[in-house]
Amino acid sequence: MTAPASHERVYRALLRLYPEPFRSRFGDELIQLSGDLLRDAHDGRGGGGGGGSVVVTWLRLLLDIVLTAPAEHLEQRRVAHSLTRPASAATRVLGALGVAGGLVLIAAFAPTLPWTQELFQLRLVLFNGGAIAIAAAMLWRSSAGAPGLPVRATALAAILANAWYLVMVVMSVGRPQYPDPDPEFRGIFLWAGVAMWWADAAFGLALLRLPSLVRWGALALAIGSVGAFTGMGHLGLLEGDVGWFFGPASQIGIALNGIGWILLGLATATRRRPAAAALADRPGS
Amino acid sequence: MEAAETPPATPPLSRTAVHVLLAIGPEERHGYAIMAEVARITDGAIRLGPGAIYTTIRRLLDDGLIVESDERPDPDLDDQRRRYYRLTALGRAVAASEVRRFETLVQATRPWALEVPST
Repeated sequence: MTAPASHERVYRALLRLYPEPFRSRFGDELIQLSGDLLRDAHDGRGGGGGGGSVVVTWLRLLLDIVLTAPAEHLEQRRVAHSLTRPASAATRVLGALGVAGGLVLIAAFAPTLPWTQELFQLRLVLFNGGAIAIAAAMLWRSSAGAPGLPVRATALAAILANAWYLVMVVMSVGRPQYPDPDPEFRGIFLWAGVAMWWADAAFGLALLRLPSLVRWGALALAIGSVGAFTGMGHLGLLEGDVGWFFGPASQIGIALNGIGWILLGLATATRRRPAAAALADRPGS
Repeated sequence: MEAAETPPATPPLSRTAVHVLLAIGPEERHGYAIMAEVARITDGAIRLGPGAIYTTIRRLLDDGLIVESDERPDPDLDDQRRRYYRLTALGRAVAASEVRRFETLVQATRPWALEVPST
């Protein structure tokens, strides 16, 4: 009754088309049964209702997998979906704020928009607000048992740094910009910017080990934040010998940073949570 | 009729699931035997592959219509790796319900359905 090793190797490889839980539960039996059918075909018997030559039996086995594996995947998804609930309203709002913050950052690249000083500052407020919203959502998710200490620490740092920069943006409203009449204020503003870009980069790095959309958003955020940092005027990198590099790099960095927040916002707003968490949110539970 | 024999309202079974349920019948059968029995009771019209058999067995197990038998075959007579499945009380009730449905269908349509139309 033991199937030939060559058959087992090929059929076991084909079984990868089934979802892992199904494979681990019935894989051995499937291999044994397919081996029985191939043995029957080889011996010229039709005991399992198969019949036909070995080649025909192999074709039937292939067709059988092609027809049943997708349905089993759909069933697994249906079960997984039934065990989860959509993100809470609060999480969806935080995710939407993150998307909005990323969009207004990228909107700066649209040359036709009237970039008045007020609009510029409003854009930064939205950008910082979105970053704080995403970091807060991740911090809450982390406290609910998911990502762990690096995410908690960097999310907290991102919240504080973005809040610091946000305060500086608000305080700069009405102050003359250039030439710089208030070097002390500008110095603090500079350090707020440094803290924001590096906290954002660290947050992105900490999120890299999370799956799917979060990972791509985190990658864009980490690279983009470092790139954007190089464009800070006080560093003088744009005017140096390699300004030809840091100029575009900082612009690309800002765009990537915006894309990162958009992806993280989408991931936050659409992330499904375990059914138990959904039940815990219900009044009276 | 006993209460246990009344099947509760469950989602309709697929044709394959009904065939597997009826193929297991009152016995304890493993995958190969179920496959052979399906071919036998359908006069060779239905030939299920391993994937069709075990995706159906997975669903019937999840629905509580069959269970895996604890007993293993005599190692001298059969492969110890085989798993045997048998109907639960609910599975028997559902199988009986399906057979009654077939009977009703056949009785209602036999007078005309088996007549060879004259041309």
